[in-house]
Amino acid sequence: MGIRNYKFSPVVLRSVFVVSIFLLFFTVSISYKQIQSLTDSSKSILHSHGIRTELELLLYYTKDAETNQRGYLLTHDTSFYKSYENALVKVRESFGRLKALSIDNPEQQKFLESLKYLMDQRFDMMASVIKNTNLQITISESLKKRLLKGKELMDKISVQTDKIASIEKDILIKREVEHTHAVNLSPLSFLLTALFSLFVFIIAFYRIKEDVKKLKRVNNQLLINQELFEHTEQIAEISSWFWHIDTNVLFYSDNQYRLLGCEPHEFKPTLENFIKFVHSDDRHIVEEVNVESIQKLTSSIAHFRVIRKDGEIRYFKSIGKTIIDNYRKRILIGINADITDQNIKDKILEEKLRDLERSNKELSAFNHVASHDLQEPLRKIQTLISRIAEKDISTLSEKGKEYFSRIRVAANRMQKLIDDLLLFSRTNKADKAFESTNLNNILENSKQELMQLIEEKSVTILSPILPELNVIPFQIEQLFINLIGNSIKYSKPDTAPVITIDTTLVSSKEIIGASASADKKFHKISFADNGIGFEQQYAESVFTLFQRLHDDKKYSGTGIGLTICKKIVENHNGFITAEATPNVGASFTVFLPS
Amino acid sequence: MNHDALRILLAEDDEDDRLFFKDAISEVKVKTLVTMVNDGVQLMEYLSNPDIHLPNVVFLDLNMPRKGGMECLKEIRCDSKLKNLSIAIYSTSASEEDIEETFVKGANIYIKKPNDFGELKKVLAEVISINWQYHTSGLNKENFLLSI
Repeated sequence: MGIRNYKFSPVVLRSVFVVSIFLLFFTVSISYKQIQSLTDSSKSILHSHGIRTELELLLYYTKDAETNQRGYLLTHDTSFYKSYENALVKVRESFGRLKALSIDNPEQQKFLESLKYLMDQRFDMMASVIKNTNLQITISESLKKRLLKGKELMDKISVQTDKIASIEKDILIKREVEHTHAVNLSPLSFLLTALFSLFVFIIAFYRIKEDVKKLKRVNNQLLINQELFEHTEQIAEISSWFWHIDTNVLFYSDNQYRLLGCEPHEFKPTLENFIKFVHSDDRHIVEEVNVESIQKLTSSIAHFRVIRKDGEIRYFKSIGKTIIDNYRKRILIGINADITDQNIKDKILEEKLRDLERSNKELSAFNHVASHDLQEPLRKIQTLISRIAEKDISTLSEKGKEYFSRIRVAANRMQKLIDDLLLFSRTNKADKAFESTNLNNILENSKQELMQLIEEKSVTILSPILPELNVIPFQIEQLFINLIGNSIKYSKPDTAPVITIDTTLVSSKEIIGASASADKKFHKISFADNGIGFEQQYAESVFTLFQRLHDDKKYSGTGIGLTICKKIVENHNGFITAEATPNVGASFTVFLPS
Repeated sequence: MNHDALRILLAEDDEDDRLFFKDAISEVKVKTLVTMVNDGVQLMEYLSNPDIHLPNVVFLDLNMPRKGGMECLKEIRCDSKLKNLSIAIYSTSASEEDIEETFVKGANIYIKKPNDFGELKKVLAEVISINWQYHTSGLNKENFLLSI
């Protein structure tokens, strides 16, 4: 199962990973920006608050200076003067801080400048009042004027600071709105980031889990395959190996060691170590085929002998092929098979074949003997019998005449036996040519051949139109002659023989003895007669050589005719069966492939 | 020497067959002069003798020691002096192979030795009454094997 398909998964995984990293980075940077702006806005709020506080301080110190100035003017107590001076210093410090705080706001700077101008005027006035009224208790008219003027200035200062404060307040409100916005936005973006990360993690987890499951399944299948392969190797006496050509690393299956008579991993798998096991006469074969496999990238086969660890010589067949793996590296893969047992079997078969050929030759020599050497003396005996019968029979006694007639019958029977045997041995020959033949013509020829017998016994032959088949014509003619002749021979003495021929096309499934798996069509041709028939139990044995069911006197036969029929039908890859009922008739059915 | 008689040469190794042949031919109502040789070697020696009159018909057995009938047939048909001889194969076997081979090698007729004396007489009478010149020109496979 999809080990090759598994290849695409890392690509998907990698792209998912890259996209996730990108999205995560994106959301994190957005969050970071949010926090940044939050910090900024809170900073600026603090800043605005600082300015306002400082303004109040400034006003407070100014008023403190005024209070102390008044106290001094009334009491001329120096402690008031000291406090007045202290307040002045503090005002200056406060102003400096205010200026520093609002350095980023040019509008505020401008207002501060005008405030400074007012305050300087105020403080100058305060100083001049103190100087002119030095130790005077009465309040002159001019002093009164100056004090009024001072109050006026103080009012202006108040207005100015209010203005600055109100601007700062606007800024603050604006900043506070911004801040609230940022504060509201931040948790949402955090939540989104977290949710997205969770989503990515879940997807990744699911994918990894699926992949691991698949990997596990593939691994399991691999494990099963591996076990199966090892088992197969042991049973089939084969082994496998592969050789990383570029790195010269060789791997042997366990059975490779076993085939060499060793324990698995008993020696380091190298070409040199393997060559040590190869029969010294065959080493060049292994070396040459290795070079050939690497160069040609096609599979190559080598036959060689190895000497196992225990010294036994075994015959090996090795098939190697160079492949390019997923890392574009060249690997020579191969299978070694121990074919020693097969070789032995082949040799036995070869021997049996030779035996068969020899016995075939003997058989054909026997045929020659039968056709020439046996026939010759027989022919002479028959010729001599004919000479005596022609001229000298009258000189014999009655007994002698009877014996002589028996000699003649026996010699004729011998002649028939030899002729039939020869016919049988000739039907053995399988190298006859098949021709497309019209069986109707064959039947006509057969009838012609048997014409004398047919007329003698007033035989009726009923036949339909027969098909055209691919057969050995003279053998089928012989078949027809034998079957019709057989029916005539075993006809009832007092009944005119009727032979009914019938033909149909049947499937091999309907034929007993035919292999049912191959659904082939056969022509079924049957020859049914109304003769003496025979017991159904003999239906098989009628086809056996020299098997005869009836005694000689009434029915003369050699017991070869039906055997020849069976042989002919078998030569045509067909079947022949017999069915009979005693005193009713016999039916012979021939199945010939269409 | 009788010049009117039909000159017949029989090459046959079997003594009985020679006897049957002689007996049968003597009963045929044609004047014949029969010469007999025992095998193929003798046959070829006889035919190569320049002093003899060549026979009108040669009856040739196929199965003979030393030199068989098939070999003799081949030699005769290759010899410019002998190649027009009329040759009747006279054999026990009537196997298709033998008939085919002798026909191809140029025999004129094929006789299967009969197993009845009466039949033998008929066959020999038929063969020696053939007008050989005519038979040779009309030679074909159908009438090559003589059947009575």
